[in-house]
Amino acid sequence: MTKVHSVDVLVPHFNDTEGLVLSLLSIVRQEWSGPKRIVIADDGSTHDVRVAVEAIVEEFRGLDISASAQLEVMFNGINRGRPYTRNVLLDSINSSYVAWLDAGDEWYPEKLQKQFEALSSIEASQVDGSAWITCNYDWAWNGGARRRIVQRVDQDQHKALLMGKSLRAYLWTLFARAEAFKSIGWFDERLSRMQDLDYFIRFVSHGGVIHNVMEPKPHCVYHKSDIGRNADEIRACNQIIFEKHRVLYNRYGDNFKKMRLYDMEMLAARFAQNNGDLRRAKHYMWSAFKQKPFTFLKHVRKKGLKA
Amino acid sequence: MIPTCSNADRKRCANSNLHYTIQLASARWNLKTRSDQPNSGSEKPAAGHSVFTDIGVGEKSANIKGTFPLDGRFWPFKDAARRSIEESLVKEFTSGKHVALVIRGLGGRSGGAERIYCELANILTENGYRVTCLFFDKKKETPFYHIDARAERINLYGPAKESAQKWKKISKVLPKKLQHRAEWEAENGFFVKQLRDYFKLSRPDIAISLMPPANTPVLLAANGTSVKVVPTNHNIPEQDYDNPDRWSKNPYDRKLRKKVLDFASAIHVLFPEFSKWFPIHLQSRIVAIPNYISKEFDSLEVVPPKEKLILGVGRLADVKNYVQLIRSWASIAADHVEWGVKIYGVGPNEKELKEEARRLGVEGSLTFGGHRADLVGEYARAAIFCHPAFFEGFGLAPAEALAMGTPVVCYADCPGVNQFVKDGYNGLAVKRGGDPDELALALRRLIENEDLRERLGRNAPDSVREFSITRYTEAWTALIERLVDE
Repeated sequence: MTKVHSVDVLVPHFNDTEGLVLSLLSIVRQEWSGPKRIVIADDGSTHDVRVAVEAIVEEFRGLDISASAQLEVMFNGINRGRPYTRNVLLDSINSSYVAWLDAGDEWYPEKLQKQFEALSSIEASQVDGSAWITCNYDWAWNGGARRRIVQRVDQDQHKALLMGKSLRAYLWTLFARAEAFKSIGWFDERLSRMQDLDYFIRFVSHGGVIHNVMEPKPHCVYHKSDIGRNADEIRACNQIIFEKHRVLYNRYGDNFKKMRLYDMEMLAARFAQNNGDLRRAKHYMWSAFKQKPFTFLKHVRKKGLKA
Repeated sequence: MIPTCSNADRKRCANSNLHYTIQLASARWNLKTRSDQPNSGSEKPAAGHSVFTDIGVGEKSANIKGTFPLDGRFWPFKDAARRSIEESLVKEFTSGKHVALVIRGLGGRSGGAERIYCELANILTENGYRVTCLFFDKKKETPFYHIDARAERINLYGPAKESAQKWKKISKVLPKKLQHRAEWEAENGFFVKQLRDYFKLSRPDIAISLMPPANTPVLLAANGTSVKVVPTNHNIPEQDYDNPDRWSKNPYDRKLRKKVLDFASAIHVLFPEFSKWFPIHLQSRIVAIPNYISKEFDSLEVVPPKEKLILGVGRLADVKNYVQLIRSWASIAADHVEWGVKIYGVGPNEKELKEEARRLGVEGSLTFGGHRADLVGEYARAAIFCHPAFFEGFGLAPAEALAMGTPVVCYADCPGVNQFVKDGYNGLAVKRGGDPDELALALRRLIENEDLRERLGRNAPDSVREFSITRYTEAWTALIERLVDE
């Protein structure tokens, strides 16, 4: 008889009950019918929201559709930030397999099924080291059309993660054995943003390999918005990552490093711009110009002063 | 107000009865959701990310009236009492002390040093340390020996070679003395820079380096940082520091190798006797930690009876001196036709050793077993273990033979073996270069005296009992704790 494995789905949440409902629905609608243990960690939402989260969980527990899904909820006493909440979830792992889904993002129904198949196939080929299974996803800017993003795994994964273009560090795309997450250690609590990137880099440094499911179509959707995101905070977190993983950046030479610093400045400029802080956007663009003047001028010629 | 999903992205869930139920639940609990926010009616409503969420994540929530502790139950206490209880409930997510293990080459290498490196990484990880394995290797292969998945492994080598190329070019036009320096920079400059960046930015508590090609760059890189360095020496110091043919032939490297020992927090050697080579001012920093005999040597359930077999195990290289074993055996083989010799191992001398055996007419009674990973049974069934090596750092093969109750025949002047093979107690340690051939005499003596073999064999396991993984682990963890606390 084939053993039925259980999957822990780890859901960090903060003050977004509507997003939480959306995410929970996408979990219970998975075609993969094995047992799921959904663990929600609320990161110190307001009192009203907490009460609502309890109610939502109770409603889900009472529904037939969630018969194969066991729901657990934990509350941080106060808001402790995303990395801490991810650590609470990491600490709560109880099943042999784990997947993540940030409240507000969605999986398409085939996601777990396809990722299970991909992992089984990799394990059957007895590849050494830990494996994470990512998938392609849709990137949906608020109000905009969805754009399919391909996760390219057939490359130098350290380099690709540092570049952040063809392989992006999104935890909610991942599925793996529990040990493949537990063995990396905790999320870095200094990183209020970008903690996933640090975690991905460390996974590869631990000898892990990221694989993609064996088909090109997207299996989840990221509802993306820059609104309310703090440009200084994102730049500071990027700097921590740049220092923490400096030896990896060094491996690819000075030009590579300068280009990454340029990207960091432009990302901060985009956040400032999208939140209406033009003075700060200018400051970051000037920093970007100082890093790579010709690259910046090329950007201006192509896109104007839009970061 | 009932929250609604106005965004097109949510059409799929809007058709569901379940979603309707959730909406009712939201209404009943008077949710404060995206649709309650001032800009919820804008052209780009947040799909899945309320504005409130976007602003709030990472921000401290100021309006906590009642709260839940981590176990999810409602917490009815007044604020001050609640806060203090909550704080005590907060889980800390911290890692153990950070140890960086550094070796020069690792990818695909199956040598003894690489094995010790990987095993030390696994032992320290198992004991709760955060371990980072640093190496500088042009090979992209994965390590030959298993490394615990909890240990990080970072190859510091990369395609960025600009500075090395610059030094290579410069070295050609410099005077001889400076040329050595430039060549050293070309070879090691990027390695040192990478290590220095790692030490300055990742700040491990301690760095343990293996063998001179890593010891020198690590000591140089850590100088002036808070990182404490323990260079380890896996051979006799004379070989590692004075032999011009061993390691780099660059005289600048040899000079530097000794000089940078001043920067070490502790210097590892395999046996206390090896400390004599080091200058007086370094004596207090020397720590002797011998290698250990693998646990599989304790776990042999059925010990096979001893057979008339002389065993040799080791790399077929000059230093192991197997040619002497072949010659000594050839001088006594005719008197002991029921006995045989078997040598396990591979190496550069394999062809000439086989040729020598053939030349002396003992190819029938002296055979070569090649590489074999599982030798426990072979050690156990052999009546005598012969190890004619010139020197060893730690003679693991003779130690393993003793653990299996097999007496050892060796030369008394062989460092790394004479620390634990005691003449007349657990083996026979003979004078090198004597005439007649002392090794052949010792072998003959043991072959012809079964009582002596049994007596030496009985003492053998106890004589190497101290080389256990438990003592090895205790010694390393005690050293790390002492240095970190200093």
